[in-house]
Amino acid sequence: MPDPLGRTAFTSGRTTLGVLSSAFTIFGLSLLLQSHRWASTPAYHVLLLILPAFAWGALFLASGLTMAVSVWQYRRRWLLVAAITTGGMLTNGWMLAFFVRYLTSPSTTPETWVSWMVFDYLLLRVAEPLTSPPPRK
Amino acid sequence: MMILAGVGGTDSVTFVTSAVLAFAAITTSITPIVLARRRSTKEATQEAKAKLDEAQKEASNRAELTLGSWTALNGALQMEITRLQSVIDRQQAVIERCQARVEVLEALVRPGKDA
Repeated sequence: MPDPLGRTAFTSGRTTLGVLSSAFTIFGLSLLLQSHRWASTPAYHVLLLILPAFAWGALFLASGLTMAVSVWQYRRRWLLVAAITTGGMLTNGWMLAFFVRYLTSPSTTPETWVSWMVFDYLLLRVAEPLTSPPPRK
Repeated sequence: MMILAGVGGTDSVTFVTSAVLAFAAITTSITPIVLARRRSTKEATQEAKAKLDEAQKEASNRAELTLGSWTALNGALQMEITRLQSVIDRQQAVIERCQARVEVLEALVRPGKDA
């Protein structure tokens, strides 16, 4: 459906993937280079017990860079699927982890899992065009 | 809101969190399959729709052809009927001329001795 205000660039899947790529890359670099910040934030305590900060950082950085390459090579379907899958695994995982934390701790807010849910929605928006068949010649 | 509060202790929370992380990883790993299946479903639907459109178009073309053929045949038959009617009219005129000639000749015939 065409945008009623004629906007295309900021509503395209490519731009959305670019924004997600930036966010994941920043998370990855921060986890790798500023792990003390994450370790001193209670919200990430359980997540950092399961995997150390550098492991999470490596995963986020790999996911962010895969998304960045997908933005560059946007026509390569397999690359886009790989980027969405790896991004989705991290996003869903962290969303559910924060949801568990929200249910188990009275000193938390829904902000964390809702934020990750928004990331999930953006990933779904990027994935939706991939379910359409290629245009007929 | 504290649904899982009864689980108690950091170890239990860590265990549940690990479980949900594993669950998310496993369920999300089937994304390529889900995308491929949704794509093939849409492709099949689109193909069926294209076939239906094509069939409707062909049926419409056939109907037009039948109507065209019928109109042409009707025109040809009308022309043939007109031509045959003129032939009949001409032959009728010949017959009438011949009858008139016969009447003239009969009038010229003199009655014989026996008459």
